[in-house]
Amino acid sequence: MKRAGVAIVALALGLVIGGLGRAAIVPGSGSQAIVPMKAILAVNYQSVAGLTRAAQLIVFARASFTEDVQYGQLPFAVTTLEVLDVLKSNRAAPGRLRVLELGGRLQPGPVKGGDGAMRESRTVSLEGVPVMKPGAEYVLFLEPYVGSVTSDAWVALGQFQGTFEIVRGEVTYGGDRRLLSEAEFATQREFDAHSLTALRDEVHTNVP
Amino acid sequence: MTWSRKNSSRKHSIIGYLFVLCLGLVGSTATSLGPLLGRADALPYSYRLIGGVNGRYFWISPTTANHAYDNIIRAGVSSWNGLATSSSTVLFTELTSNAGTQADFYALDYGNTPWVGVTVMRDANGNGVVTAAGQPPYADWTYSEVSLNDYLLRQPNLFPSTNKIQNVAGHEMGHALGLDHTSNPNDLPLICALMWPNLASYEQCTPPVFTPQGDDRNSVRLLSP
Repeated sequence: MKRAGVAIVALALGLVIGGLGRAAIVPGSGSQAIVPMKAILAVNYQSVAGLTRAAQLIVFARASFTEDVQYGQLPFAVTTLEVLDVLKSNRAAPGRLRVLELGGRLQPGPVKGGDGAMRESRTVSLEGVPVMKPGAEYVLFLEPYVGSVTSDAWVALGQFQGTFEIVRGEVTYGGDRRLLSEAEFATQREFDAHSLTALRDEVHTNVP
Repeated sequence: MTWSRKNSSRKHSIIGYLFVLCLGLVGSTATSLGPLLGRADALPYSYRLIGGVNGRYFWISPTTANHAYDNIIRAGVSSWNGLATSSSTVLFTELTSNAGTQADFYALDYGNTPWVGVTVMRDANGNGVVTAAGQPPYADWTYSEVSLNDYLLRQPNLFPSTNKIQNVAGHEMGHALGLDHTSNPNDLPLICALMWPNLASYEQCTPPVFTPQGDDRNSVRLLSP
């Protein structure tokens, strides 16, 4: 009887500990407040080799500044970067370029049942990956942007799939690491914590 | 001898309790293991659409870029109707204005962006529902806004059929109901679900997926009323 009691307590303890573990990945108290945007990607990239073959321009670049652009219901960030190195280009490589990303400051939408008292813009992140930040360095797999949101710009293939932040010479995933195991982050998993040199080598190996 | 037997029996008990403790841990994380345990993979968020998913309304913006999509969006939304949750049934009907709707659809030309559909949850004051970075919402939401990229939907190489566009509309409606992505990289091609984070379920499954599948339906059952 006593043993059964202890077993029940142990089972309950296990459920509680496990539950705490799960709860701990939900609220994220103290971290930057982010609005999630769930997206379905038009083309899915599963490897850096695939990105390399598809990209028209691959650069190592440093972000200078970011402009917020609202278009339709969605916020976009247009980041200007200084090109530090060109890894692949099928045209004259630019020294400076602009890259369009979904994300940034989301404006409030229609009031539906609220009192309208607290209305504020909030930071948006596509699948938990922040837009590029000034001062940071990136390897970007790009194609020219064609559309009305901005002009004379590029987009990264798969947005976060083709954007690799480099910190002190190492590929450093800028989003929530707990999401790295998910299907859409195959390219990030492939080179997470690898050196910039290793990423460059992979690109050079696969440049047609 | 008696002491040693007692000691050994105590050891067995401790091992037994540890085993039961582990069972508890496994049980508590079973939902995150998804298909490994035969459970729904596109799990509902921890929070929900305020007021539930029955007797609710959707709206298609009249400023949408291409009204050819209206019927496809309607088909995408209604493909979820009639599915049973734990204690209710999904039912969304269309209104001609967005006052009082819970899912609003916009289709605009956003150009060759990497994404073809995006969903944002908002509270009653229209603010985006705040979460920790990358995590599903940790507050209940009042309504969702779905944005479809008309530019990509018009590309015949990407979207050769209306069924594939319905895959996108239905997928985003799944988010509006409260479902996260089916996102275990090892699932394909074993699990063909509408809630894949890309178009793989249409492009790689036979037949192509454009309505809720078994995994999606299992996930709907876990939705709060």
